[in-house]
Amino acid sequence: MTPHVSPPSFGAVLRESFRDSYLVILTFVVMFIGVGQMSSRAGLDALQTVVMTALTLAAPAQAAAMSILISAGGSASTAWITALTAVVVINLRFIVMVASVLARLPKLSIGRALATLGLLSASSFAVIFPRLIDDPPRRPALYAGTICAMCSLSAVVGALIGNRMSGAVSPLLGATLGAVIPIYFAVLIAAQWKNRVLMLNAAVGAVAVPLAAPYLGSSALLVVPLGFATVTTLVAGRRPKDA
Amino acid sequence: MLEPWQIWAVALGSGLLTLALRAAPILAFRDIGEGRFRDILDRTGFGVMGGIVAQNALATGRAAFARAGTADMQTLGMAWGVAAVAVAFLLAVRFKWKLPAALCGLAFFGLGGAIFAG
Repeated sequence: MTPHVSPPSFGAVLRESFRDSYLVILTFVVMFIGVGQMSSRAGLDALQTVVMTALTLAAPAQAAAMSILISAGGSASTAWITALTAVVVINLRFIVMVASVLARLPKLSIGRALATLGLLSASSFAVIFPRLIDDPPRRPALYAGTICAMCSLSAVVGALIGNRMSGAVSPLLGATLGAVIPIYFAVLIAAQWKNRVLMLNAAVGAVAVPLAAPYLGSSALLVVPLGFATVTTLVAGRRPKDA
Repeated sequence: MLEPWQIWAVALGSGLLTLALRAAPILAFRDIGEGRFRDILDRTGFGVMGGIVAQNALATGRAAFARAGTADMQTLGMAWGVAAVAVAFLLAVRFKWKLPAALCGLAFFGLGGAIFAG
């Protein structure tokens, strides 16, 4: 008879989520201080900054939108449409990220899936996705949802601080803290070192996305990895198995 | 200045449109299961992560060295950012470290910024 193993409690999952994501949470606070400062310069008040950050959760997209509003000043009444368009284009990558994580979760109702992944960000994706492949937690949906929620909360706190604060973080300190994101993500990728196919895709993304960005803009992050993954998967599927 | 409703349109509209983008695959792909489609998504996910790493390493490296002023120094900064990522990656592969590897990479990055642009 197989012994019954009870699932971990909510508190245990929360601790596990925090242990895996605390570096990203800390970085989010710092990163979104910059976003909050930009939103203040663009004319957003604290409530607008909180609403935008809590739902969007994408520093590059928010920074782009704020830059558009700041540079337009009072001269262009269509700046808000341009800003919205920029946010949508930059955030198209979330379609692939959510689909990738969704494929690794047990089947969820639409409501639960939205609650779990509705606040997925690039950073929470980078924590959750390798973990689901490498060492899936026993309550994967709750694990993913709590990481998304904690990242969202830390982004809101950072943006609010930035919006209310007049001084700027020193450029070197800001850049060094900003470097936590690529460095930590590289460490997360390294955990899959033995999976050469995933490593190849990560390496191609690392090389080809910056090269394609001047031509494709922010959509390079979506188009290039998706194109390479699709082609290589289809080619591998056509090869005879005994070859 | 923009009208208040225009600022609200950006703040709320950005959030709601982004939520719609996240909801799209949830509504469209109800049962992904295993197979080729999931393989594509797994590979794409790692490609996206690689892209995020490279773009952020280049951008933060350039920002860290920006105070030095010259374009050459900013190029060096981008290379330094990539090198810091490589240090962390290699340590993570070699010793299976997570936090120590990230801290070593971060220390390498900060050291470069302090020496060359400080």
